[in-house]
Amino acid sequence: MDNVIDFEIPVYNVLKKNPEISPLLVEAGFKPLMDQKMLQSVGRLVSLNQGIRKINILADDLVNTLEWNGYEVKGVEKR
Amino acid sequence: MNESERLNNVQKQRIHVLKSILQSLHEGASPESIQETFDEHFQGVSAIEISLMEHELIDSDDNDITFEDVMKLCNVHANLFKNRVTEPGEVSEFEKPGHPIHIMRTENQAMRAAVMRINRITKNLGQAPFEEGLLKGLSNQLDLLGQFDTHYKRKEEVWFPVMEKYGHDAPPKVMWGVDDQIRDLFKQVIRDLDNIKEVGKEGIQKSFESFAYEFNEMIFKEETILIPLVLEIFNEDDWWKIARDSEEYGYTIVRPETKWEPERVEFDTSGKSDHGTVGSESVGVISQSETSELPFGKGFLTLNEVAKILDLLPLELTFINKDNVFKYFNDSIPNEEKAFPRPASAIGREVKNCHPPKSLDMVLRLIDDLSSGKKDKESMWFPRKNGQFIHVTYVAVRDDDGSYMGILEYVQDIQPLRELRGMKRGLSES
Repeated sequence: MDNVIDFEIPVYNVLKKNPEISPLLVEAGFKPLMDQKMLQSVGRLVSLNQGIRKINILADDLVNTLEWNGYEVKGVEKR
Repeated sequence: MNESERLNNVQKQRIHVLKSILQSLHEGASPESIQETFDEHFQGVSAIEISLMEHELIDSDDNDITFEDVMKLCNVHANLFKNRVTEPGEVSEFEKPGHPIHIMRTENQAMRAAVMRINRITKNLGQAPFEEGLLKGLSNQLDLLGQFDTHYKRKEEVWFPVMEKYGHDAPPKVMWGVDDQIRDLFKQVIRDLDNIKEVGKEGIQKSFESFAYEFNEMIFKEETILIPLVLEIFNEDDWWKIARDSEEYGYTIVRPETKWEPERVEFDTSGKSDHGTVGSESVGVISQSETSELPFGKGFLTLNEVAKILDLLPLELTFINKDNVFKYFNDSIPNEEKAFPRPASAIGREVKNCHPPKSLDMVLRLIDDLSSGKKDKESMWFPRKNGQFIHVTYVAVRDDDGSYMGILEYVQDIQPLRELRGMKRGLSES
C-alpha cells in the first residue's frame, strides 16, 4: 500500500487501496458517493477528476487536504 | 570438525543463501522464482532464527537489502507452510480476506503507510506559525494511526492465549512488554502534538521518530516471527475462534472486506444451514424411525440403541470418511478426561485442517498408508502428565468388497488396566 492518490482511476479503486481517505472525501463534498451502494455502482465509473467537475468544487482544495494529510496526488486535471 | 563447528558452518551457509535470496528480491526477482531455493534450505528452520538472520542483513552495510525485501520474503516463508496444505494454484485459507492472518498483514501495511504519511507531514511542517491545514492533517493521521492499539489488543488478548495454550509462553510475554513501551512512546507524540507551539517541528519529529522506530520493529517481528510461528502451531479451529473473537475488538484503519469462515461438508440433510460447503455428501436419507429394527452384524439394533451403545464404549471413537472428512465422534468420555477433545464445530471439516502443520506430515502419511491398503492398522501409546496412559489405534474401515470407507480412531486410557493385579471374580459392593 502506498500513499499515492490517483485522480484518474475510478473512485471505487482509490478507496479499495486507501479506504482511510473516505472521511477526507466526505469533507470535500463527496458524501453521497461514499454510500456503499453508490460506491459500488457510480463509484466504479467515475474518477476523482470527473467527480470534482460534477459537484463543482475546486480540485485544489481536495489536493491540499490530501497533501496536508501526507498523501501524494497524481493525474489531477487542470482547469 | 567438531559438532559446534559443523553447526556454525551450516549457519554461515544459510545466512549466505538468505542473503542471495534477499538480494535477488531486491533486484526485482518474483517471490515465486526463489520459492524453491528457500524451501530447500529453510524447511524446518525456526521463524526466530530466520528473523534474526534477516535482521542482521538489514542492519549490515555490505548490502542494500531493505525492510521491504524482507517483507516480500515473509510471503515466501508463509508459503513454506501453505505448500504442504494446499494444491498448487489454490489460495490457502490464510490468504483469504477476513482470515486473522490476512487482517493482521493488511493492517500492518496500512499502519506502515500511515507512518510514512506522518513523516511526510512533519517534514513539511516548517516553522511556527504552522499551516493550519497541515496541523489538522497531522492530527487526523495520528488519530488514524492511534488505532494500532486495537491491533495490539487483538493480538494480546485473542492470539496470545491460544499460543499459551500450546506452551509458547515466552514470545507473547516479551512482545506484550514491548507493545506497552510503544503505547507510551505514542502518548508522548500526542502530548507533543498538543504542545506543538512549544516543542516545534523538531520536538514532534523527534518523539515520532522514537515511536516509529519501535513501531516498525514490531511490525517486523509480527511478520517474521509471530506469523510464521502461529501458522505452524494453530489449527483451523483456533483460527475460526480467533476470527469470531476478533470482531468484538474491531480493526485498525482497514475493515476486512468479508467474513472468513472455514469450509465444512454438510451432513445434516434436514437442511437449514446454507453457508459455504465443499460439495455435500448424499447420505441416502434414512427414513426409518429411531425405533425400527435394523440388521447389524449378527443381529438387530435400533438407531437409538446404536447411539446409546456407541456412547457407552469406554473409548474415544472418531471416524473420518473416505474423503478425509471428519464425520463422527462419540461422547462417552468426559471432555476433561479426553486425550483428544473435539469441538462439535469440527464435524464436516477436512482432516488436514484439523492438525497444525507441524504434525500434518505424519497424519497425511498415515491416511495414505491406510487408504492405499499398505497398512490396515496403526497404534501409538504414550503417558500423559495427568497420570493417564493413552493408547491410540487407527484402523482402516473397508467395505465387504474391500473398498476403502475411511478411518476409525479409538483412544483409551489404559492406565487403570495396566494397574490391575491378581484377580476379581465376584461382584462389587453396590
